[in-house]
Amino acid sequence: MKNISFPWLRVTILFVLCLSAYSRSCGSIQQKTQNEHIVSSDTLYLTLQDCLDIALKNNKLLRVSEMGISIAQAQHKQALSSYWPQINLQSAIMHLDQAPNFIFPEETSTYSIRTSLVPGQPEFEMISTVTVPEKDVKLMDRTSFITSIGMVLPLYTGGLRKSLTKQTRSGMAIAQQERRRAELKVIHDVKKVFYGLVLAKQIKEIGSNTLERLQVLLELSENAYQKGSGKVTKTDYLKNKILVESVRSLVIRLNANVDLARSALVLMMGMNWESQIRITDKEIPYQEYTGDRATLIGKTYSFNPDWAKLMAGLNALDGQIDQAKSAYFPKIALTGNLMHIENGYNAGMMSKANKHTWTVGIGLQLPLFNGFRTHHQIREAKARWQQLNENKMRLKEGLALQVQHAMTNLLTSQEQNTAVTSALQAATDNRRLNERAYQEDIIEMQPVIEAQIIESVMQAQAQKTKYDHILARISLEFIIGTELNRLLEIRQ
Amino acid sequence: MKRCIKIFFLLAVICQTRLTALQQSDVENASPDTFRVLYTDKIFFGIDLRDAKVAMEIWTEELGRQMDIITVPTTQIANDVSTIAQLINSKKIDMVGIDTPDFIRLREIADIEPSLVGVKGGTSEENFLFLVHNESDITELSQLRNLDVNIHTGPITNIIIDLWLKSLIRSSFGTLPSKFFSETKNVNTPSQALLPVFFKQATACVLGKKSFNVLTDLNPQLKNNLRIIKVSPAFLLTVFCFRKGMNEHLKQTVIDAALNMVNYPKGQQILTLFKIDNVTQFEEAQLKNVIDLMAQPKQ
Repeated sequence: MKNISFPWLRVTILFVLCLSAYSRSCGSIQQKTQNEHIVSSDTLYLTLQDCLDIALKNNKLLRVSEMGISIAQAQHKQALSSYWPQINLQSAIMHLDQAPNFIFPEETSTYSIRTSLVPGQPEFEMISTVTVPEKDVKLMDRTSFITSIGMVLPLYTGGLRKSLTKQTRSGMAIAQQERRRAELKVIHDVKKVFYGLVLAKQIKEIGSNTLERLQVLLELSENAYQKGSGKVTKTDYLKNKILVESVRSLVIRLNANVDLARSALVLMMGMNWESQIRITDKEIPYQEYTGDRATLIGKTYSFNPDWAKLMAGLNALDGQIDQAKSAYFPKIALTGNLMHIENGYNAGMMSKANKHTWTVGIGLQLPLFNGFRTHHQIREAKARWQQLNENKMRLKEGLALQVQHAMTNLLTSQEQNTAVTSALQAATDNRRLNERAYQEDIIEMQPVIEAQIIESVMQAQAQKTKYDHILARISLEFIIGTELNRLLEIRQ
Repeated sequence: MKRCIKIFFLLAVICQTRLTALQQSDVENASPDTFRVLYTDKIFFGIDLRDAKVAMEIWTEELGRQMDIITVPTTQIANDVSTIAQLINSKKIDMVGIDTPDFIRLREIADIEPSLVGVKGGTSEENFLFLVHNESDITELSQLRNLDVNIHTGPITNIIIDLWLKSLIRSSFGTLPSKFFSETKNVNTPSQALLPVFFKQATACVLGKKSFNVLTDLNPQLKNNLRIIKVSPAFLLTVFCFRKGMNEHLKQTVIDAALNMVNYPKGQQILTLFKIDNVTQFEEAQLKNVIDLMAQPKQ
């Protein structure tokens, strides 16, 4: 059994180190968690779409952003209400301490009358003095019940109503883009964790398969040194044991990574932490893209919610400028009023005519001078617009840089995948050739083990490269705001 | 581990817990759920028995895990066909791992049915090649009269190569290889057979086609500098058989477990250790060339 010696120690150490690095890509490692072996009948089997649907339904931030849309819609409706007449009903019961009165003061009047005692005779002037005594006139009873309906219909506001609705309409657009951004964030986070779980499972399987293979050699070496011909010694067995136990500890860590990634996915979907889920996807999808970077950056401005939000913000500030300017213009409104008074007294002021009255009128309000306040309000609004416009330039460059960076990552990972795929094929060919050579007694077992381990490392590398690619794609879609399939060509 | 052992080990592992010859009383007193395996000592050619036992235990434990029946495998070794036949006919053995020529002799006198064979390089059979250097003017076997030849004789292959060479030389030239060639040198590895011819230190060599293909894949210049002057028919080297009339469920369980080994990493590694790719079911047509070879008139 002399084949079982271990000059391939360094290759196995390389394998252990590589899988440790890949395992870190799958998520932060905390304490060891239990292995996933028992699947209960309550286990949910989920595809990526299932996970996205659940997350979008449960995500609390998404619900918060939806409330923001409701708020903005209500604000817009409030602004639109200014185009309608305002009708109010007022009603009151009054009880006075005394019945109001009017005192007509004593008045003495002298009248000169020209008359004749007998018709035909010359007239003579008679002077008569009349004294009207003071008169106390009651106006109404102490208790009155007054009801009135008033109406105000703005006819012209100098552009104020239009500016307000412009602002609230922009507010709705901003709220909708915030919701879209929240939705894109949920999709981005769920996809990232989902594919992280797929990767963790793949790396774990590679590690477990390698451990199983090495365990065969460990059992063989243990039995060989204890009961064999003596060609295999205890030191050979112990060296093997060190390596196998190192790989076993790595596999335990990989198992923990799977559990952690699964827990992260449950949390991301907003499910209860005790929920048992299994994902059905076993492979990370891979599609190569080609496309012009400048075109992609141009398309970003059509779909990116932050950009749309900023444009809506500029629109709102336009409205604020108009609102400030409207202060220069008169406000004209149509008013109307209908009043009815119930009072037990039917004389004085409480005549029938006075008990039922209506008025219609047109009002005008024209500001003449307010210490230049309107002028400075317009300046303030314009300055805010200019400030946001400057931020627009910054955002434009920032988005272009983000897209460029993500696109570079995407293209780099595609090139890496090509190289790694070629390396994996070479590793597989190498392993197969070594196995054939071993079968024909041309080489010993050691090179076969080395070739198997190298192939496992390349398998893990290939999966990691695919994960990097999907991550770059997810990030790019998050920045742009739509799926890449709509914007780029898929390389066949 | 020698190549030829692997197929037997793989199949015999189903049943083995210890590689010691059993006492007769042990065999007779075997409980109904004991599963008994025998293999010929020819497969241990050049192997320390203690190392062979160790390997068998690995198989045993693994197959025990795969099988869902409770059984205690036991083993024994025999060295001649008549002893094996007696054990089979008295139902003291359930399975046999044996080289093909002995199998052909055994089935004439024992109730056995072949079931499984090992596969390597896509086939369960092996061809043998006669090779010379390209720069020599040798194009036919007749030109090797009184010249030297290296022969790769591993376990089991040596039996078939010996039969084939004798048959070939006798039928072509009416003499034995030992008299036709000036020297026949048996070597343990394919490299030891082929490289001296490449370096013009030997005139010709005989080795398995699969060995030749691997060596030329490793070193393409070998193919460019060597010439094949004779190719043997494809010969099945070993076969694993069950006793006729044994428990059908047990037999099928063993077959399923053996066929399944290629489907999981530990089983694949065991197959690799024992130098085969997988196990498949036996077909009668695979025996034809060996039967024809053995039917050749003997001296």
